[in-house]
Amino acid sequence: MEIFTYGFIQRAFIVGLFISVMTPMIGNIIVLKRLSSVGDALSHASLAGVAIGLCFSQSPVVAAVLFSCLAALAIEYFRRFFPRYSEISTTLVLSLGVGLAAVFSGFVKNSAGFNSFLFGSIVAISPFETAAVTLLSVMVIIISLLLYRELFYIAFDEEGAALSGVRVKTINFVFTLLTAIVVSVSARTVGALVISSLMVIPVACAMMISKSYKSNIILSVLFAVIFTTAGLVISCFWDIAPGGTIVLIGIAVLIILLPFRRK
Amino acid sequence: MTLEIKNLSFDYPDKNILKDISFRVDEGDFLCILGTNGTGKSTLLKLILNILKIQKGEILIDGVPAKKFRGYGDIAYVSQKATGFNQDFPATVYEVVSAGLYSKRGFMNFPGKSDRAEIEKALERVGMLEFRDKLIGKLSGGQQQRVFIAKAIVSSPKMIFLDEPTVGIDVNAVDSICCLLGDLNRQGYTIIMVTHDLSSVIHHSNKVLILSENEPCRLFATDEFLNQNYSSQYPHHREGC
Repeated sequence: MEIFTYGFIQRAFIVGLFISVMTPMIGNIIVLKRLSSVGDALSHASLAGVAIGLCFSQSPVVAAVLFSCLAALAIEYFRRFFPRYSEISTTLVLSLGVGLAAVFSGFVKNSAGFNSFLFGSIVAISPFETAAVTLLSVMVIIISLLLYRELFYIAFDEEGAALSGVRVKTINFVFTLLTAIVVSVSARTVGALVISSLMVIPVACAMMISKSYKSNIILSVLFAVIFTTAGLVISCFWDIAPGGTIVLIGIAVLIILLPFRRK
Repeated sequence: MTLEIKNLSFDYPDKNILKDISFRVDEGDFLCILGTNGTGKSTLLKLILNILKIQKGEILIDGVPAKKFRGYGDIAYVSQKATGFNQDFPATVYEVVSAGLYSKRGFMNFPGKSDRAEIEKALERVGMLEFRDKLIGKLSGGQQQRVFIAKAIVSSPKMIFLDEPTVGIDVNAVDSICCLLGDLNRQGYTIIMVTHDLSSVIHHSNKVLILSENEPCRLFATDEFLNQNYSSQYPHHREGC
C-alpha cells in the first residue's frame, strides 16, 4: 500500500479517474453514430503533436491537444470534398497523423518519452499535466452534460434533430473538438494507440445490459472507472503498460458479459 | 395553420421531378398525397419542410414564404426512415418521445415535470403508455410507428407531415395507425400524408392529391376521388376502426 503514497501514483489515479469519466461520455456518441474511426484518426494526429512537441521541447500534452483539434478541423474540411465518402477524410487525417508522427519521432532525443505516449505511462505525468488534464476533463464533462439532449437526438435521428431546430452542424463540430481533446489528454496515461478502444469497450459492455440511453451512459462510465482503476493498480504492481492492461481487462469483462446480453 | 403551394417546380440534376404544382391545405384538412415511385412525393415534403431549397415557385405557410417562416415548432414530421433507425440503439420509448419536445423547448432547456406529463399524455393518445420503459428497438414495426407519432404530437404541433409511415408494417397495424391518424385529425391536427398505398387511410382523409410523371397534379375532395373511375388505379378497402 506504500506505493499509493507516491505523488506520481496519486496523479496517475486522479488523471485516470477523470479520463474514465469523460471518455465513455464521448464514446457513447462515437459508437452510436458509428464513428469509431474518427477516434483512431484523432489519436494518430495527437501522436504527431506529441512528436513535434518533444522535438521542440514544448509540452507534448498541449501539442497533442492542438494537433488533435487541427485534425478535427481537417476532417470537416476534407469531408466537403467527399460528401458521400466521409470515411476518406478520416483516413486522410489518420495517414497525415501517422506520417508526421513517424517523421518527427526520428528527431526526438528521448525515444522512451515518445514511446510512453504510444501505450501510456503512469510514471510520466507531471503536476502541470495533471492540472491540465483535470481542467480539460471537467470542461468536456460539463459540455457533454449540457448538450445531453442535442447529442442524443443527433445520434438517434440526425435529420429529425435538424428539423426540430437542433443546430446539427454546430453541435457536430463542437463534438468533434471534444473528441479531439479527450483523445489527446488521455494519450499520456492510457496511450494514443489504445484510447479509441477505451472509448468503445466500456460502451460495448454497457450495451450488453443497459435498459435506456441514460443507463447506458452511467454504466459505461462505471465500467470505464473499474477498468481504469484495476488497470492502474495492476500496472503499478507488475510494472506493465497501463493502457494495454486497461483495454485487456475491458475485453475480458465484455467476453464475460456476452451471454447476459439483454434480449 | 394553412399551406399553399404555387407553381412549384423542382429538378434533380438528372431528372425533372415536380412540374408546376399548385394546391392548398386548410386548417383541419387530412390530405393524402398519392403517386407512383419517382413522382416527387417525398421531394415535395422536403421542400415544404425547408430540407431542400425551392428552385421555382412558392410555398406559403400561414401566408409566409417557407424561407422566412419561423414557426417550424408548430410542424411535426414523421419520416420514411422513422422505423429504419438503428434497432440496437439503447433508447427507451420515453426517451425517444422526449426528443420530440426539442422544437418547443430549444437549446439546453431540460424537460421539467410538465414535460413529463406531456410525454405520458402523448404516449397514452397513441396507446403506448404501458411500453414507456421498453427499448424502442424491441417493439414491432407498428408499435414503433405509434411511438414516432407520439414523438410528433408531444410538442402539440398544428400540422403533421408523414412520409409513407406504413411502409413495411403488417396490414392490421396499418389499419390501426390509419385509425389513429383519423382520430388525431378529428381532434384538430392538420395531417399531410404521403403514401402510395391508399389501403385504409383514404376514408379518414378529406383531400387527395395525385402526382403523376407525365400529367399535371390533381387535387380531389376524397368523395369526388372515390366516385371517379380514376380511383380504381389506387386500390383501397373500407375498414372500421
